[in-house]
Amino acid sequence: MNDMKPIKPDFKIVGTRPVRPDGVDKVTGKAAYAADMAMPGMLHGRIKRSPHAHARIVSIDTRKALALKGVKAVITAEDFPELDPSIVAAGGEAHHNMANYSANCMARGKALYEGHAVAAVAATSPSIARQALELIEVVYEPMPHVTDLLEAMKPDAPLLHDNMFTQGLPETPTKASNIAKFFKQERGNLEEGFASADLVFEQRYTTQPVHQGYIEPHACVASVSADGQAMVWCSSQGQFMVRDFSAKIVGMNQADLRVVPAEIGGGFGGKTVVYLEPLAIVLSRKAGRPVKIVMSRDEVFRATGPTSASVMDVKIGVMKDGRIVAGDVDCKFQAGGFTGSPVMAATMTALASYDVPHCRVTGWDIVTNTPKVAAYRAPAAPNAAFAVESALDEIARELGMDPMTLREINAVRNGMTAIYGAPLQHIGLVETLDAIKQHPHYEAPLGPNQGRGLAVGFWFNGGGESSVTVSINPDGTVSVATGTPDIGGSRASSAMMVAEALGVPYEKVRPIVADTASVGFNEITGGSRVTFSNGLALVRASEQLVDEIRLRAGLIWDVPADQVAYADGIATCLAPDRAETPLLLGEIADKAAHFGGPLSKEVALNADGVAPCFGVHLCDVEVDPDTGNVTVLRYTAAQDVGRAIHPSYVEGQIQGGAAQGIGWALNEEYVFNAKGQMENSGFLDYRMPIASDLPMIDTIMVEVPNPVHPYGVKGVGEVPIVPPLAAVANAVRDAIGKRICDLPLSPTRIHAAMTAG
Amino acid sequence: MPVVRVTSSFCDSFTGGLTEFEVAATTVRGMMRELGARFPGLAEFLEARAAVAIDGTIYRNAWLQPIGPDSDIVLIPRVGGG
Amino acid sequence: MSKVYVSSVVNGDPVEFLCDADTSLLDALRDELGLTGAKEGCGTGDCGACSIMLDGRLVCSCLVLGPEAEGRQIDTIEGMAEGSELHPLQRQFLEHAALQCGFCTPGLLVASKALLERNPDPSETEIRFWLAGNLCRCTGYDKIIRAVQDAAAELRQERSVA
Repeated sequence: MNDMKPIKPDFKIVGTRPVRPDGVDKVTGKAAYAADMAMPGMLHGRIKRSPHAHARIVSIDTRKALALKGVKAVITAEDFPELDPSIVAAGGEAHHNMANYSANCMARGKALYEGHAVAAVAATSPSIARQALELIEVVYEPMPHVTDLLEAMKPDAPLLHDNMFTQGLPETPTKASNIAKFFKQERGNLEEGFASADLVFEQRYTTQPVHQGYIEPHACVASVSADGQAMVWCSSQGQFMVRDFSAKIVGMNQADLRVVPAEIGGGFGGKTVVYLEPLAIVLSRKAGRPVKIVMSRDEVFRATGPTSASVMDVKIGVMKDGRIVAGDVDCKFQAGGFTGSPVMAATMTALASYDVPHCRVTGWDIVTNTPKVAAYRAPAAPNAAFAVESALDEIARELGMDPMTLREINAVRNGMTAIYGAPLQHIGLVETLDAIKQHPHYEAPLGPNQGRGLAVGFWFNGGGESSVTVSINPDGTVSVATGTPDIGGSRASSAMMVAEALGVPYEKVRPIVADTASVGFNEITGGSRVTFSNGLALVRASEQLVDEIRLRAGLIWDVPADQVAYADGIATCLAPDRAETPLLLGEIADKAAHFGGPLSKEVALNADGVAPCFGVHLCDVEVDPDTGNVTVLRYTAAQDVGRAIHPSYVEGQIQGGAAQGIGWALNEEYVFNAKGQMENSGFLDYRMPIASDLPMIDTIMVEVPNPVHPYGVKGVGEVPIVPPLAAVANAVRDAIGKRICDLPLSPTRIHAAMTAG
Repeated sequence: MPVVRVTSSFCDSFTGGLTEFEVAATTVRGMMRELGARFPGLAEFLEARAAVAIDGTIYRNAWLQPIGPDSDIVLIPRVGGG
Repeated sequence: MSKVYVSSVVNGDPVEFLCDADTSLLDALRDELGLTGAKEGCGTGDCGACSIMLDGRLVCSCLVLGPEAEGRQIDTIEGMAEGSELHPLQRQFLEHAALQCGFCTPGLLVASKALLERNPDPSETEIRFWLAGNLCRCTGYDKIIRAVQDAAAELRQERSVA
């Protein structure tokens, strides 16, 4: 697994495993994350949060806080413009409604969940800021609350928004409810499908909210000048997203806001939106000094993330030979205080791995008095896969069929149409299933109290807008600027793709993540899009540079560009009867001024033609019959990766996604008390996997390239969290002989199932 | 004439649940305008919320992408990732 | 509130700083001494991102008060490399791609070094239990464990040659 040989011999650099360019700073403590930033005269911001899950804010009196020595600014929702609901995020992210994000950053009129920000202060020290929070007098009128999504759907449930009328139904209801949206994917004739089935299986599955769990809490520093121009340093999955959201929420020109990306200490989707930055900007504008805000872990749990709780009702019809003929899946997803659960993606992914002629998947977006959900790695797909892959496991048992065979029979293949309507191309599910079958783990013997589970996952992957600059320096080295935060090795893959395309050594290419004033617009690091979209832009820029290099060498030799060959950093004159000494890249670059100026290309594009990918995971567990505790014994994850640019970081994505999925399956959940307050807002009680919980996670990279990308890239980061929930649940079922349909599979829940009649 | 299909309900409130439309357009933007002319509000909705698969390749914002008389065109809800 | 004067030795160098009596050693290191390598992931001793050595003992610096550092020896991630010569653990973390976001990395390196100082040849299980106090959300720990194993082997080799 850790051999240092390239996977594909036809590439020189793609497929090798060099040390990442930002690595040394990260192992020596030098790398600067957002909380490491400090400025002269900097103030410390803190946020006052609602103790109530649902309350009308009657009044906020900030006078005593402002009177405290050292307090320089206090803000509430009144310091933010009221936004028209038509204002949405840039870059095709129209599902992000800025009025809701503004109200999520700072409660307007009502607190919709415990931890909802209601005011903020900036003071000369953290302790003064803390004292000032105590002096802010908020009068609340507590209202009945609802945190459970099924309760929230009931007609008499406490209403979060009295202007919420379910969207997406053929007829919009006239009565307000907590049901924000409805989605449906459909094809074939469901009744006909079920009527023809030999076996119809039905079951309900549920999951609880889980947090993305990045180790770095949100943090930012904002500095606004008297003329309104501002800088923000922060940890996010997109400096351009921070600029776009913040400028809209505080009401300023995007050109006046320069966002500098700090190193980011994990995001997994949770840092694709803003929480602190608009507050820090408004505090700084009021105080006339830089303001730093750092969340505590408690705040991270209560006020950011998580992902949706979900309830999924699955009905699947199969023939005796294992063919799935009909599928009906209903998904209810918790959105938190504002609309915006990822349930639509659940409807599109639930049955995406299989060829189901008659199917319907419906989805409901439900608001509850819980934190507004944020994206979490392949949003909604893990929930949906947990339900469908658990159901398929039971169906295989009822048919007396191997779970692998059932999946092989039904797996989508090239040319088939996905449930969301598009024909599937360049996909590698069959190859990935086969890779698991060939792995020694598949046949490894199991002992008593042990079980094995198999599950499949699907994700779309993403494209979108990327801007990059590639410049050849006068000495022949290369500088690369991208505009997407490096969350897990993208500097390395960027440098590798440029080095490959320009034919220069990897170490001569140095990439940076540029701020919003230094490179064109980029969408976020997310959706498994960066290596694909940035890669297209980087390779295109490099190819333009190669053309330019041949032209320049031709000018130096007085021959046309087509008489110049360029490879491996050397230009060779092909003109007959000419015996020119080949020119090194540095020699050409050094003469750039005389032949047209700097060798630099910016490419800005909107990447289309993304190809989806699949993961197949195999998990062995042992269940302690006395305690119900689960030990994961073996874990093997195969994935169609398109092509791995840096295999170590691809393996890392697969291993990390699997570990998060294992935590989701076994331990992680938000626990709310009767008041709607989170009871486990720390890492001691919100139990993420630790090193001693996990075995080595073996990875198999199956390469079915996407021909749209010059190096075959598809995107790898998200799909590995999709299969583990069901892979673990199926393994536990195999070990204890009973099916638990509700996550997490905590020891108490398993023990109860084992001891029940 | 190219046929535009939709298997998702996401434009149902504009189309009343129709799932197939014939259009004369030669680009994605033309197709959206044409559908908007038949179903008021749909053009703006599709511009903001839809991706388009043309013969299997998914385009998210490419309004200028040509479509041919035999193109297989599918409207797909746009999905954000993590 | 008057500040407390503290003098201690950090990474071999004498230092002096003033801090409030209730300031954590983590905040003192970061805010008073500018040593931001140790990170705050939780502030409650659960994540290990703030791991440092205090008189040769591995501690979460968020659970130690700044004034407790008086007269004591502190070692942080900033002192692990010798000049530009990386410690074998640091090198192996890079070779193995044992970090993605890198936020937990300083704590994991400090904790791993403490392990190898007391047990030069730990089993995989011993490594996993020793590092159980250091959360990593990116990697699933696989590459971290391998990096520690290879660094341990390298250090044993060095020792047997020396």
